[in-house]
Amino acid sequence: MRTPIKTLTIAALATISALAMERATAVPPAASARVGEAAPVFSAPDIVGKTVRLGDYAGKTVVLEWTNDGCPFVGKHYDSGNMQSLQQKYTAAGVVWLTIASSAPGEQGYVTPTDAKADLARWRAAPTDFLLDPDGVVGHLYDARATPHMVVIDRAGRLVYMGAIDDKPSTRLADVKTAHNYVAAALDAVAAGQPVAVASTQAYGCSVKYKEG
Amino acid sequence: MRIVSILRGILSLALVAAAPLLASTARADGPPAPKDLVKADLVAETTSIAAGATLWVDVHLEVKPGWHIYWRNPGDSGLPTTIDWRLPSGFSAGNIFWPAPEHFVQNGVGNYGYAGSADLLVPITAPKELAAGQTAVLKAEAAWLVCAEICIPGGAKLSLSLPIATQPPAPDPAVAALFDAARRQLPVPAPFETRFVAAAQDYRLLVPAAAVAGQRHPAGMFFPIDGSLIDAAAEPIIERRTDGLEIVLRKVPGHTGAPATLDGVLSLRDENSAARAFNVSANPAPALLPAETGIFWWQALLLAFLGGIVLNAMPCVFPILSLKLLSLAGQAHSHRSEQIYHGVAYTAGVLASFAAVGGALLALRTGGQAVGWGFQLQSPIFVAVLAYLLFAMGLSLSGIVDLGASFAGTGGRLAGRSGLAGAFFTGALATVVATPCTAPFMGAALGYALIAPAAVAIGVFLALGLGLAMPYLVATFSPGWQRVLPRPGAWMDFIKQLLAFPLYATVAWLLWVLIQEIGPGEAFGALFGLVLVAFAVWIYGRTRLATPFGRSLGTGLAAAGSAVAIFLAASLTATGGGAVPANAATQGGLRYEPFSPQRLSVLEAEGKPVFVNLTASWCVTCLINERLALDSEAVREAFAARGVVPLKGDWTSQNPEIAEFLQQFGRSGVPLYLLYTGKGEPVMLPQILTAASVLDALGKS
Repeated sequence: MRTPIKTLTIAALATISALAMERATAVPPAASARVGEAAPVFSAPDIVGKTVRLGDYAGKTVVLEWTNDGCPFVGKHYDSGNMQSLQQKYTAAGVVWLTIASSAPGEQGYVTPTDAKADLARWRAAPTDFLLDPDGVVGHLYDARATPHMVVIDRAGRLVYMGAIDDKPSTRLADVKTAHNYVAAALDAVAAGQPVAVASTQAYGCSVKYKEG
Repeated sequence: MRIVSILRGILSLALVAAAPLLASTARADGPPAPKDLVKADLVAETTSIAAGATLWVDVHLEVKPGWHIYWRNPGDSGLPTTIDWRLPSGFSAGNIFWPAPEHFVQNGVGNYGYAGSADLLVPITAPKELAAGQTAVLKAEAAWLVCAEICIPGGAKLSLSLPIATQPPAPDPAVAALFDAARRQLPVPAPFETRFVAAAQDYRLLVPAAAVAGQRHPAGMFFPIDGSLIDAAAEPIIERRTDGLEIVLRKVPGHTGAPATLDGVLSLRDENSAARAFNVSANPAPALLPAETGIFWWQALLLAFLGGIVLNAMPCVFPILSLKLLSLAGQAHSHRSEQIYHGVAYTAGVLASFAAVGGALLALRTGGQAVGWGFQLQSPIFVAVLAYLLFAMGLSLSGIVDLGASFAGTGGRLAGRSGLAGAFFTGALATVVATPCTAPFMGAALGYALIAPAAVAIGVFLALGLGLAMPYLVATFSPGWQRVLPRPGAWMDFIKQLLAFPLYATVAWLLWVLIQEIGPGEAFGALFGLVLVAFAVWIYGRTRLATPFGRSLGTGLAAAGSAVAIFLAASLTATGGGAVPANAATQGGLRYEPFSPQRLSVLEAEGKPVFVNLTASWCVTCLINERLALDSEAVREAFAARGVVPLKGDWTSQNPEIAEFLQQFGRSGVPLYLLYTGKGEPVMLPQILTAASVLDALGKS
């Protein structure tokens, strides 16, 4: 009477261990950027071919701006001059402003170094640098899904703001003047040593066209 | 001169002719014009409008293939489609009734919207005072973002003129088909209730079984109205449970806090049928212990088996087992193989009864009844009949009547069919009597059984039965212990009469349960029934040695008495008014509040520590735990010091709310003890409590 029970138990254990191997969860790659924590480090080439690392700017406030030259939401901020004036104002105050393009080659929003230089000239934009991220590594790291996606990192390397540029999700140029600009507010708070009032919002805009997989 | 003017004319003509060509080539290089991408129309359901009437209009949008527009919550990117109304004074437009959207995900970015076409229905209400004979002009400005690879904002100015009539307007047959199709795309209010649980990384939407009844491979999608909660790029994970469907929705990374309700559109579809969309507003369910800590099926079988063995020591089963063992000792010198047959017959009786009880439980559950382990005792009729049976057995043991082998198997011959049938019946009786006692480990095993497939569930019940029958079965196989006992003699009669008393004690307890269930007034019927049973047993016993006529008379009177007793039992109904509530404060015990899931949610939201005690009058383990552990001074003081609010749920009679709550914790019977510490998930205490273990759990929190 004992042996059948023993065999049964062993057979059951074997089946259970086989079944326990499943449960793959279908979830996109997890972003590691979390507001309030250390900003994840990255390195990416810029439009002159130099490799830029986040660590190069240790001790400075850094702004990351995800852009897409064909997107009407990005266009709203550049055509109105809003983005350029933010860039000028804050880079003059010592803030490092990095514009990033994360679209994959062949997809909408992808730019070669030449295209990027042309865009900067056309916009009369003044970022500290323009980084190219066609593999989407930096984009996924900061969970950039819609452009313009804005990130503010303080002098201590902590992520203090991530999300939309302002509170009016639209393509109307006139909305820029009446909107509350979250990035300006965050940068002003950091400069004054105050905590950022609104630290996280949902970015609005056109989707970032990442590469497959 | 004329030639020049002719030439000039030709040139201008040529230019005019060429212009579109030039323009179109220029356009071919640039982005497509918005009006090519989305065509918008404003259609009214009726041909006129009357004062005070509500008119439905359809903003019909046709989207170019390959492009899409967005729902009210566009997802990770995009913009919702908007309609801005310009109506004559007194008219008002309601909110947009959105058709069920689709889910688009591309490489880590998710959106909710429409490809192909979308009909946005809006109700327009006319003012009460309206001059007939005039025309009302309804104007709307629709704005959208249409995207494929690139995004292009677009819009259209729409207008509709309707004559104002005095009669109620008739529907326009030309557009009836359009409106019919549009309405079929709208989500309907859900005819079922959904709940949600906020876990660390995701929200779990719980859809009840009724919503997916009969579907073999249900799948679903949830579209939240609030875009800040759920990650639009993650596909939901669907988990099938017996109590329904669990849809796991990944939270937006970095999202903190939980909403009061989870609102949105739930789209359910089966493999072969079209999707159905429902508007849901899910309330939070109390924190669930993760389903993954459930036990494996082989663990459930093992626990059930062990539980069955331990059940033999419980006051319900102990008398029966003792009598069986005694009867075995009485036949120590009869043929061993006969004993083994008896052991097997008893086991068969136990197994058959457990299979029947288990089958009945599963059948009731599939039928939608909220029943759990011990459900038999929620019926006062069953309790009364069980009391009669045990009383009759006790009387038999006391010597009022010698019912011989067919009852307790004491005395008489074991040989032959009657002996085996008697053993089978005793096995069945043991099962019936064992049900109110929940042994340790049985709670988890049985809870698992009721949410597992039917075959596994029956297996668990059979394992329990096997455990219950095991001591006796083993005893019949190894007769060695019988030699230790003295030879059968008068002492056996003494033991037999002594064992009547645990049976009488069980009867007294069942009567107490009955009074809890139906109140003292109603219970009198059952009490009188007992008197009749006593009479029936006595008259039957008295007439066994009489003349044939006497015997028949005795049997007849006994039958009549029993019939009346059973009739009295059958007329018992569980009334709410007469019953004594189990949460009436016992002398010197914990002061409980009545349990309800709503009260628990409120206390949880307030962050107060709560102790939930789910019990029933017929649950012996529950009563022992209360007497020894929960009502002890140490525990009472500790609860008072920590401000723990004790909630008591009484499952003595049927209560679907408690049954559902039990099932959320993987249990199908009482007792269930939960300690909510005010933060995090609740701690489940073991089924056998001691004051020390309760204080320990409290201390750890």
